Amino acid sequence: MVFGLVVLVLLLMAIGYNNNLIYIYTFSLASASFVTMYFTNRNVEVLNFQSLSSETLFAGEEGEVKVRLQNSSSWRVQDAHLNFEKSKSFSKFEVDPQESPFQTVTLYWGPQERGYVEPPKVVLSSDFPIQIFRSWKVFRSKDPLLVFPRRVGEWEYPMGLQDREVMNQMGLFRDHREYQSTDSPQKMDWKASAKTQQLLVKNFEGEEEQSLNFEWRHTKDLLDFEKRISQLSLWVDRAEKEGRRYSLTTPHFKSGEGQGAHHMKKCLGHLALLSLEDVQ
Amino acid sequence: MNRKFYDQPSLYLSLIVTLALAAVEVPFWISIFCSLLFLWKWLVEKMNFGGVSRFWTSLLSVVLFVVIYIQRGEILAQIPSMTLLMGLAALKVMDYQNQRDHKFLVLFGFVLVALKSIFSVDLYAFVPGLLAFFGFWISLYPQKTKGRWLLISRTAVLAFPLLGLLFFAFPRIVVPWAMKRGAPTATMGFSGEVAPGSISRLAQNNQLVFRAQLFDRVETASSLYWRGNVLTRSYGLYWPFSTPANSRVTENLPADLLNPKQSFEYEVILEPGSKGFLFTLDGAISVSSTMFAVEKFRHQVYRTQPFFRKSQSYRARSVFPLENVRRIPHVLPTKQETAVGSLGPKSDEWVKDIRNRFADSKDRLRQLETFFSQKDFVYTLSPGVYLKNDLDEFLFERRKGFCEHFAGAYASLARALGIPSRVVVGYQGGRFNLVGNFWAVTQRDAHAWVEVYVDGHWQRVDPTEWVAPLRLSMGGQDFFSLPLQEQMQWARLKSWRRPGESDLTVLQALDLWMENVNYLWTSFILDFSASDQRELWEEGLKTIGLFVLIGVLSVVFALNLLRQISRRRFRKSEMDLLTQKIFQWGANRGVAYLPGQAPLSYLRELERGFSSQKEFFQKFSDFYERVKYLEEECSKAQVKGLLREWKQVQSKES
Repeated sequence: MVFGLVVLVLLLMAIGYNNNLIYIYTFSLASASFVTMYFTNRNVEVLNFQSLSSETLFAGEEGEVKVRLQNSSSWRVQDAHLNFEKSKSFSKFEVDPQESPFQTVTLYWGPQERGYVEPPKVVLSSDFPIQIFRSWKVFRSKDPLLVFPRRVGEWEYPMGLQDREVMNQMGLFRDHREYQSTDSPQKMDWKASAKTQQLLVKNFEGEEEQSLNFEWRHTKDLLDFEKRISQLSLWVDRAEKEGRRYSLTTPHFKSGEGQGAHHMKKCLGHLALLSLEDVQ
Repeated sequence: MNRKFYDQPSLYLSLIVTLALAAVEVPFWISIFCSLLFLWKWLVEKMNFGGVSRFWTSLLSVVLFVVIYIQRGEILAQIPSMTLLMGLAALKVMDYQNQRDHKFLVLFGFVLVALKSIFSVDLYAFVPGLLAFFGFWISLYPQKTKGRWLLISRTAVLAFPLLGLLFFAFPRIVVPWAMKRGAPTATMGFSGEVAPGSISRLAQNNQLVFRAQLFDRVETASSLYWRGNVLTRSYGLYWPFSTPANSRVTENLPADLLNPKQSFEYEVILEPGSKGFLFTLDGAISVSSTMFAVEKFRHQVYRTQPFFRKSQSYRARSVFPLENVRRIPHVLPTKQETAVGSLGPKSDEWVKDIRNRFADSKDRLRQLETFFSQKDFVYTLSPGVYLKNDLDEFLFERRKGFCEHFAGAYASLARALGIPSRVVVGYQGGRFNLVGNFWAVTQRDAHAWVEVYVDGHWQRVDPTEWVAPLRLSMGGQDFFSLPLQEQMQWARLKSWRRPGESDLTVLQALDLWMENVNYLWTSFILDFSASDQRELWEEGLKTIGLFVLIGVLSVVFALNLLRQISRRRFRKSEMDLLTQKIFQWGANRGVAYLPGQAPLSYLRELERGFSSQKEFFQKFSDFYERVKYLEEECSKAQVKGLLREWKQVQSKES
């Protein structure tokens, strides 16, 4: 805007003073700007949207979304920006076709609802090379992303499972391991922690073998349907992080016992798409 | 992100050059102010000195504004606005911290460089200005940009034809409120009168007045008398501006003088600041210009309205030889042109003596020549102060003077002896530029001479020729470059050169070359006007084929160049070329690769569509996936192997 104004002022000066030198300056600026605008536009134009995907995305939290782009030309894209529409945070990247024509850019998105949610438009922009002109284009992904339910509720596992856990702790002590944020404070070995100046928790014989079965009925105290789903989501997520084997059971669904990203996605995916009819 | 001003060489060097160029046009104190701020910023960035906050720089900006307003009484005029912009730019340097400040400074720079052009269109100022201008532009490209210089070069290659097109095609709008460049009064040239000291003052500076190119005519400096104005009223040494010379006349030239073979043409490019005098050589019969109206007056005087803004050119034609010059109709001397001004008692006595002794005009003129040749007159630019009618003092006491003293005194005495005479002011000689084949005439060539009416003709008499012939043969520029002692010692010689001086030194040759560039610059760029533009396009339309051809060739050239540059940097890999071949093969068989489609999905389509090539496509897909997605290294041999297989597949198909 200001730049355009300066060109206009120079042009008016050139006309007003009928001065060919100012004409030369004005036209130099105008033609260089024009060429630069072309470059800026090209920096965006050559990029094609390939896909938009996400590993784990929880409602109410900001999660990573991978955007895959392809440079369909020999133009080296520099200083390109990618962001979700209306989001102020952006990712900066470059795509040099000499190295690879593809580029995966990570964006952050905080969906508020679970289930298949259409992500916001992705804005690809660039002000390369002189940071005065900006070119942009907007993509909209045709495929919605699966958003897992919010992981909120009671941190502790359901009472029955908790009991078993306590019993585990009464078993034979095996060794210590470093405290993780998902560990229950009850597992802390304070004395050992004090000695070693490290937060340590106790491991017991046979603990790993015990699996957790999260059932729909475990959340019966919660009246709100969404809160029940969120509670189960939290337990599943916690169990996965703790490296425990677990299963999920809802009125018409049994995940079976398992562990790992695939199993977690199966459970959380079910919860993400769970409707009131499914539990009645 | 924080930036440091002195980490941006293109920016700070360009700004320093711009401010230095601007400094000569504005009050001295602002240059000091800017230098101090630059120094302070340097200390802040390099020596960790304390800086100033934006509050203080804003406050200083306001103070600066007020000071300039109080000092100049206005702010929008050229000098105050330039002063203010310089100060603001320097204050912005103090603020410099981020990209936004950088852009702001660059914009300041653009405006400052352009503003300088209002003050000076000289090539010597334009070249550094242009470099600074490009420096500002280059500074906009971040230093970490990959292939920065390549990108800048590509921008320049593509922008240049566009600049040319805009310059020559953009309509030159002449607005009625067009602003004048520089001061509203002329600063150069004589005032149209001969008063003691008026021309010697002019001759003390070496400012260019005009350049002239004689077509098909060779002249020596001593034969070039560029007439400006003719003065007819005598007051002894003082010859004021003559009103009668301004009365318009029409002449009926003998028909044969209109034959181009009887005359020669020359073009004169006047520098800005002229007072409207159009300088012509003896025997001028026509003066014309596409830029302004020419008015013709008595005594072969040509003028136009005074103009100050830019260089202007005109063409003139003069007849030759002398016999033809004398055939140009002239008006007989009027009473005013023969009126004798007040002479001093000694002059009166000398005149009476000559009149008594010689009755014939030619004899009397010879006595005048003898008087000026033998009385030990000294030709000097600083003869001391004379009053307007100090004729006696000059002729019989001091005997020191410049051309205007000799011309004024000679013409006054000639009139007293009964010979009609007048003083002509203009320029004599000039320096010939061998490179550009033109004469450059400066203020040092300012001159005054006399025309006397004898035998029914006005004839030129130059009293300086008797007193300082070296001034005429050497030319004012070289003569006044000599030390004063040498000027006085050798002035009476007809030709002289300092011993050991070679024909042309390297510096002189360089000077001539630069002067020629300046001449071309003035002729083709500075003087490019609305009428030139009209002419160019009218001519262009007549030869439209040529224009189209040039246009097409330029575009092809630019595109090809761009392609070459691109190829050099972004050459496709062999893998990409093979992929391209396969995709082209598919497209030719009706399976088009859609924009944005994943290459692997396209290859699967090919697999499904062409069963006989299925095996190859599977192999290639696998290879493609490993190379492009899993980022595995691929050797040239592997690609070549695949290429061979692809050729075999194609040959089987055929």
